Amino acid sequence: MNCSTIRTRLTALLDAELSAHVATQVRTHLETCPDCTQALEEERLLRGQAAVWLVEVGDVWEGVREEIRAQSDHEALAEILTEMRRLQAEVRSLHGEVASLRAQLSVRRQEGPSGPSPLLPYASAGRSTSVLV
Amino acid sequence: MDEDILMQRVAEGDMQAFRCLVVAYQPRLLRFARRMLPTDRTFAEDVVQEAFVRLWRARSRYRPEGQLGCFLLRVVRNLCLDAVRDAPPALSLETAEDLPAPGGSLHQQAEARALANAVRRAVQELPELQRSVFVLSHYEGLSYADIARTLECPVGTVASRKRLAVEALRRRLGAWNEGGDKQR
Repeated sequence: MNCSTIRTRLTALLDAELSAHVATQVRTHLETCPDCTQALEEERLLRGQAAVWLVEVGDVWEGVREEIRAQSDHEALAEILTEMRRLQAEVRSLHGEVASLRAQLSVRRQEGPSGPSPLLPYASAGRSTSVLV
Repeated sequence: MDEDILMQRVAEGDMQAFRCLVVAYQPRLLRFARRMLPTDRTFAEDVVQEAFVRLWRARSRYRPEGQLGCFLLRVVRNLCLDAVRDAPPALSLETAEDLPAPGGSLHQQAEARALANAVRRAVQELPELQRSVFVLSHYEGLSYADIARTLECPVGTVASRKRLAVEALRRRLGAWNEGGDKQR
């Protein structure tokens, strides 16, 4: 490997990301090349300088918990509203059915006791049909 | 405790397990966000908080693959990119909490602070992908393979971006070393 190739591998060498074989080749080259050794030292210096930039960090747990709680409350409220709307629609539908049955019953009563009786849409035990009273 | 077991408990709604995950991962995520965002500490904390809230919301869809750390770093990075794109934050150059650990004489501390600011400026001027790679590799000690998983790019790209970042920083900090940038 020539110097140009070696230079492209110094960063990976310092990061221990080269295969054992390539790392050995690079180290062998460095033993006899002062220019590449200088480049390696410059990169080590840079890493030392970069390490000076420290950052302090806090704790976000309380914020996370509050946000989750707020979203949970919102989701729970949304679920309740959805369920309420579903039940309202169901009640409206039942009102419609009851009104229809009442209308049918009223017609049957006007037709007299011998007229046909409205049948429930299911069979009761022991009988094939039941009469709505 | 194993992160997959913790996540399984989190998926069942266990807040205590979720707290364990937050406590374990937040230091790395906060450091990463702070170095990715050229702004104050609160901005980075908001980003990391949002990442955890998203994890909680997606908890039932989580598939154990032992890559939670990479997943969270990826979410934080994307949120950082969104935040900068939506509202470019003003560069904050001097904040007391960014000072290096105290040590040495006042003169040495001042020198170290000037160098830290020069490094911060140089890192934050890197193109985004180089900056992500450099921060994850140099400051967080991630392997190239883990960085590739986090950034969803080939390992070769990670290696080349790290090298380009080092070259760019060497050029920029070279001026500082020669004394020309110490007054900035």
